[in-house]
Amino acid sequence: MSKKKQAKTGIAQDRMREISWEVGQFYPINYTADYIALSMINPQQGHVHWNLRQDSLTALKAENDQLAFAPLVVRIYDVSDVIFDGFNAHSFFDAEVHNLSGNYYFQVPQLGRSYHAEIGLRADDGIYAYLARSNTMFFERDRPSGDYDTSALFVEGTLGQSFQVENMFDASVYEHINRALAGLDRHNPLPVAMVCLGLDPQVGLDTPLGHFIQNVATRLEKFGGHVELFHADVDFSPAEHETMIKRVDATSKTVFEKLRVVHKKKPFHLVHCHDWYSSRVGLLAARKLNLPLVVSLHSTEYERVQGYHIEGLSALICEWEQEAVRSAQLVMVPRESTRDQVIKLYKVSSERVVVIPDVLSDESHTR
Amino acid sequence: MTTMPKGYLAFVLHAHLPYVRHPEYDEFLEERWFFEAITETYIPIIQMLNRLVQEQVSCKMTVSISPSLLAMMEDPLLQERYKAHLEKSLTLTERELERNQHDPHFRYLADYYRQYFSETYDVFVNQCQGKLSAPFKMFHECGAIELITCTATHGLLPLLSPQPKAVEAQIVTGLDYFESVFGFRSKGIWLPECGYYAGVEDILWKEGVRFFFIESHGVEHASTMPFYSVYTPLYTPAGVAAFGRDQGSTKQVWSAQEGFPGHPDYREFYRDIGQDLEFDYIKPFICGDIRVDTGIKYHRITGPTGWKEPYHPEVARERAAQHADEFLTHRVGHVEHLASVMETAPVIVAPFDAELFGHWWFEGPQWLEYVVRKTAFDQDTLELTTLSDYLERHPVHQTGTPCSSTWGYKGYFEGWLNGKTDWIYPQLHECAHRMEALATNYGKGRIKEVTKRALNQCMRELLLAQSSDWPFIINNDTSTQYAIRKVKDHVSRFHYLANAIESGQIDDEYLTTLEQIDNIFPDVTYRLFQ
Repeated sequence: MSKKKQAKTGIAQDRMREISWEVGQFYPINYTADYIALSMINPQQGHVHWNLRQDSLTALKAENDQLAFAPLVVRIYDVSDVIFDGFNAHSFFDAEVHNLSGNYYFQVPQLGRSYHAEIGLRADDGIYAYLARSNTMFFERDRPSGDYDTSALFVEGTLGQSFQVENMFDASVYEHINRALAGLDRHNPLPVAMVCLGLDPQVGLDTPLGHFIQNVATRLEKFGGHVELFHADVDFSPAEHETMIKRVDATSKTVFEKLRVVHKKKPFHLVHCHDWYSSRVGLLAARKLNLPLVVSLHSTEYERVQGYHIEGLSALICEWEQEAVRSAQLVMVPRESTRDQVIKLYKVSSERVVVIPDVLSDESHTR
Repeated sequence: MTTMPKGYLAFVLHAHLPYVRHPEYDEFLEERWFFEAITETYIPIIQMLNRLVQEQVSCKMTVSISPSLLAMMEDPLLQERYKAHLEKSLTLTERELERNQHDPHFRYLADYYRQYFSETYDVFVNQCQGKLSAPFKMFHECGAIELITCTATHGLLPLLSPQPKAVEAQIVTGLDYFESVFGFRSKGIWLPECGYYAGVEDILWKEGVRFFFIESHGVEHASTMPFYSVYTPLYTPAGVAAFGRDQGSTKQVWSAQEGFPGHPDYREFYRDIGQDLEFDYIKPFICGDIRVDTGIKYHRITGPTGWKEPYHPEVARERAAQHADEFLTHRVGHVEHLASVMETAPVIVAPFDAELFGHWWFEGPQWLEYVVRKTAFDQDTLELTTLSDYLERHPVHQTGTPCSSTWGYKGYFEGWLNGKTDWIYPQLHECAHRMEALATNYGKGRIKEVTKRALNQCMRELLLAQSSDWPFIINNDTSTQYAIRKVKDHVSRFHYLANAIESGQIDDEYLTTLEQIDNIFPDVTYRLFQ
């Protein structure tokens, strides 16, 4: 590589290295403050590190003649359960140190206590003045506390609500109430999200397809399933193809959001879509919610155009149908000819396409 | 599963590497840490999750990506360098096919690696367009994983706690950066090294974090006796849940001596052709004149001696399936027992360094996939869960203050604070102290753009110096000189900039250079120290 090679950033690599080396000379550093910091290494051992400026030390000695020749000490206080004011510690001990900056390791006199450190000067007659004070540190117990307390909290959502619970052994009661309120406690072994867009807004479910879907839902209930129906009206007037496709697309997103909200509270086990116009919702649910997808294709676009040349809108619908049936774990069709088309034209594995005649719309066939 | 499970198993994979980007060199040894982890861990995990999602296998686990790792994943320079690294690896496999043409088994292994690198290349270049965060985001959105974050540069919070602003800056910067990449706020946090101290939860609560993880004795030695041990979380008084690690289920997986990864059928980590083959042959594929691992390893563990038999990938795969079954059987039995004596559903929390899976234990991702599949199809006692989901379903838990602890050596802090590493902490203390003074004295009100840039760069240098990786590496005597150099470089860069700010003489070329070398967290703000 060329020496002049520049990093993506615009500055040549060799210049970057030069600057990096030059800036690296700012080590070691001069400390700008007097401090002492206390840390726990383990429950038996503590550590302090500190720095004092020579000026601060000289000033303190100048203020008090008795400290002129006093050595530096690290003083460790036991400040458990008190607000430390310099005089109210339970006990303390000193360790003589010799440097303006340094480390000191110490054994903790008693576990489960809070400690605090100072660094200062201590004369032989006991006169003491500190230069820096540390943080307070709790040194843990190294065994179970032995303190039994059943107090609990109920925390719901992302810190949305929380309240005290007196007895943690009541957790199951609260869980039950929480689930009941969220609608999670019903026994629905097979919750199914059924999607059918494009129903006539004037008549709603009062159409052959609507009846069929209602009957499927009723039948499923008998087998322990529960169908949540998602439908919305989409105007399928063929005048403006592009507008219609956009409308289906937009409606699909809206319906999917509704489905996602319900799914969050009460997870579905699968999503079942009817025909191409519902398929976008099913695909979104499969991809974003990881739900198995079942597609009912009551007829293919090839059947609907009855052999006429496929172009424009129909070609797009074919693409949508194909994408849906290829993504589905199961494709339900009403007749063998439709099944053949799905397998041959849409290249779906024959094992995944089953024929279920649309007989459910006629109750007499299903008793 | 149609009814409520008796209990839950929560895998937590913590993916982390320190920031090892070096634009000032064409190639840099430590950048290979990142490349190796992508090839051996991150992409195999992406491939595993992809298969599970495609096949609609019920899967839920938690993945923590540290902000420093995420920043490297997002970095275009490292993306480009990794692609070049993969291309080199593919070239090496071609040479290996030729070299081993008369040895059927080794030729088969060379072909195995060619396929392996080729699939990795396809995932990285064609599927992800170099952006590894994209598939993780997709898996989060479809519910297969819950993504959570960590502190900014993996600073060990209890050792930073004498300066509360340093702790807050680590937490807030990490959460903000994660959100800027993934578009949502993390609900949970991985405390670096599972390092907890009483009081950190107040900052977490304020930032909307709902849960974190600690070592088992962090729960067991809490201020109140945890009635259910580590099998339910403990709510801190602030309401943030602390989940304790289950030692039983994790040791079986991470321990090379007592756990699965040490089985003789698995691939031997320490036999790599980068170390074994003639220097002239391997030189184009290593780092300058330094022998390094190439990722091509032809031998299995075999036994405790130096003698190693050839590796058989299919045998190893079967062993992984068997170990997955063994693992799950124990967990099912454990959950059956726990559920019989508990009032609420137990959760077994199994956290691991993500790099264990694939990098250290080559067959780890296969094992994990088998566990997920077997959990989905072979039993109905327990369910995989994420911790957010668990807390949604089970919102009532005992309260108490956990015990300060880590998951490191002996359970506390001596792995990071000892005679070898204690020189670091005064440096960090001084930098944080000076950062506070700079933010207060030079960062208030309307300030010049160049001053703002310099203050933010000071913040980056401070965060980078605080990484827990440097004392850990120094203590373990691995890449000691590099770790020492990193601490000293970041500290000296900090003080160079601090001096420049204080003297009002900021050299734009120098500032730009430092911004380009240590370019982590573009939106970092020094105001966290005000």
